[in-house]
Amino acid sequence: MIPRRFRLLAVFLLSLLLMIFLSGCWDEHELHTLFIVTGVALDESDDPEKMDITVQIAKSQSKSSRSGDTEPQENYIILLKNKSGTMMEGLMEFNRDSSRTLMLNHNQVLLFGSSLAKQGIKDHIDLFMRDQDSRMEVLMIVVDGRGEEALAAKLSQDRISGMFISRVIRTMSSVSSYYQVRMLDFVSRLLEETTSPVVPIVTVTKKGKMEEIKITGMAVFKGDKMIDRLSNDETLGYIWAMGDVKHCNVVTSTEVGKAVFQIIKLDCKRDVKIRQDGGIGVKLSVNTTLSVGEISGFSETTSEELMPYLVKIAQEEIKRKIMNSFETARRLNADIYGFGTSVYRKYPKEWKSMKDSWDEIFSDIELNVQVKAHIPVTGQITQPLGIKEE
Amino acid sequence: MRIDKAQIPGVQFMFTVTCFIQSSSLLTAFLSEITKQDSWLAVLYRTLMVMFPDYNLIQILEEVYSPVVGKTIGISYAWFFITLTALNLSDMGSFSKLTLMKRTPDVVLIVTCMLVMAWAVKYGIRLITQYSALFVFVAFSILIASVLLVLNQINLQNFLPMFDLPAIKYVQGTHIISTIPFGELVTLLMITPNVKLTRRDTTKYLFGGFTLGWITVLVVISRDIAVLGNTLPIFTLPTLVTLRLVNLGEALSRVEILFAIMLIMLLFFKITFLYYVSVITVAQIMKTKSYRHLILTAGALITAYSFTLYPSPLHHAASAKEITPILWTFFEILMPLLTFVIAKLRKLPRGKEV
Repeated sequence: MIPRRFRLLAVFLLSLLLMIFLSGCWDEHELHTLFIVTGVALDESDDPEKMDITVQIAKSQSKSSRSGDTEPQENYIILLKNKSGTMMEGLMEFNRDSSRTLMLNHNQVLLFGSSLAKQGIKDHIDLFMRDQDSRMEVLMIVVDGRGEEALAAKLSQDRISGMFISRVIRTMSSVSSYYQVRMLDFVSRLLEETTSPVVPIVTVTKKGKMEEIKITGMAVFKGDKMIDRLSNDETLGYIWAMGDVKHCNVVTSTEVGKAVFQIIKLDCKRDVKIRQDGGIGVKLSVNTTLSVGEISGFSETTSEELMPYLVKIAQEEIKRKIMNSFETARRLNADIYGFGTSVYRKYPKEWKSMKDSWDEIFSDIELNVQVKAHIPVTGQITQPLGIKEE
Repeated sequence: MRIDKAQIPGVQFMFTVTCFIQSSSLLTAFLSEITKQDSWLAVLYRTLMVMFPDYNLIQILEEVYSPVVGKTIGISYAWFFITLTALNLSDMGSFSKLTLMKRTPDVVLIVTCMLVMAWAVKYGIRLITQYSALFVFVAFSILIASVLLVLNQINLQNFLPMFDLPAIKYVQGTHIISTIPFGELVTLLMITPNVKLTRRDTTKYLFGGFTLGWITVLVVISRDIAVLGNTLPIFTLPTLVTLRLVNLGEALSRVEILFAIMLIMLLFFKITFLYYVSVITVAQIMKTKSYRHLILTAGALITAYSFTLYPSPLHHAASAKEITPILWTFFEILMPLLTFVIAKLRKLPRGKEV
């Protein structure tokens, strides 16, 4: 039997050992040794074998410089740039030439310059999926022009453009989750093979001394290469066709007046069918609840006629937009809606023979859109001023 | 002769089974095609347990195949158990490296955990299984929380078309469960004498634990498919990715630490149990009165073994493909089955019916 004293000593030593080793000192991350990355931009380089990598780092601010917004923007961010063949090499180079370690955990956005996006981005995103620090929820954005411009942009609304873009997109995602394209969503659509991924596209414009970043639509990819873009208007049609819209505006204008509706809820049911001739028919049943946001004109319309008329023009407008973006998708021959996946889910057996010729089948799709709108709410006033009471 | 005379209640036995299955489920992304095979295995193990309620596996082997042959097979089983322990240990090292501490050398975690495990083994089966209920409870809580947290990202469309989901897929690097997911339950046969249960209760608790474990596996897999969809097969640890996607407002994100906690906790339990079984097996073969002298020696052996098992991940993958399926099938299915058949033919155990 071991004496009690020894046992106590052993227990003590063991606890000490555990305390020291299980706290994992090897993996300490102290704030002053880190560069917190808030945005990464990849651009085409003049060397075809390489790409330009830009990393935006948020500086930790000192309190005294908080006096006003007149501070030049350089005080808030650091931009690191280099040119390398792969992302990993680029990161290594950054780490070699900087005093702190780059930390990708908090990276908000991954920007692609449009010219790089046109060459294909599959090979460039591997690291962002493989690395333990990065997350699949990072937002993917295409920048019209060069991505580094978006990271360097001086904005009046936010000091750190990476944060700005991610906040804008996250706000948009409350309209519909299809606005927000995370790395996971992009990869998922890429793996579906027939689906064309879409990614929000932003444009940087000069405005006096500052710059502005605006979302100007969606970049359409075929495989991993960007082929074209949807305008903001066409994007709306796409978003509506995907359903699950939580709020959004429908702007209509006719000869007799203008009306703006707010979508309270919009659902879109999709039904794919194999036609007699072997092609695919898609039926989209849109079911939406609207409220009247703003009306002007309609002075010739009586109040009984007004509501049914408004419902009718709202339905027509929604249908028109959806058809409009579908025509664009068909022209680009890009299945941005994932109709192919819907076919696969419904007809897994027939899909096998269709998959390879999906491009032809897609361009031959018969789309049938049916819109059903309800307008239960008219806002705080029932009729616009000057309408005839009967 | 019994080495560890402690008795464990049926409920603890049940939770031990659950813990075992849960710890495997964390590292896999396989689908339910194997369900049938698994329940069949559980039936086989149950039968052996009921047939020889007072014997552990080694004693059964000696009884069925005569002492000399039985002992030889017993020695191979001792090797098998030690290998299993070492494999699980090296897995724990590499996965904690992947999820928690990526620069910390895994020897640190492995050695410190091994010391605590040795301590637990010293107190015997009663203490080890006592923790199973707690671990199962914590694991279930984390599981339910994780499902609630990803509720806003679930897309039920991902399940379509039915039965056309990616085929059985194992996490790269886990070879242990690669052939027979729950075959490791064969280790339960070593603690039969500690579980004094009636025939009915054995069935009840074994299958109860099995069902609980299976529910966990199903929930984990369904959750991951619902969130990740077709991207599931490209990830080494889908569960980790799923939890990383949790994003409720700005505050509630980065909860993958939950996964790490669950993983380390359950693996800790499993390895402790396997470690205990290895030690008991060796003690049984050597017919020593107490197994306690063996603990540290076995622990050192297992630790060293876990580092030298495979010189590189490549060897690892190659052996997982070629050698382990045959060997593991031998230990986990063929041998128990053969033992059962021979025991039936020789009408063993003689005279003693429960």
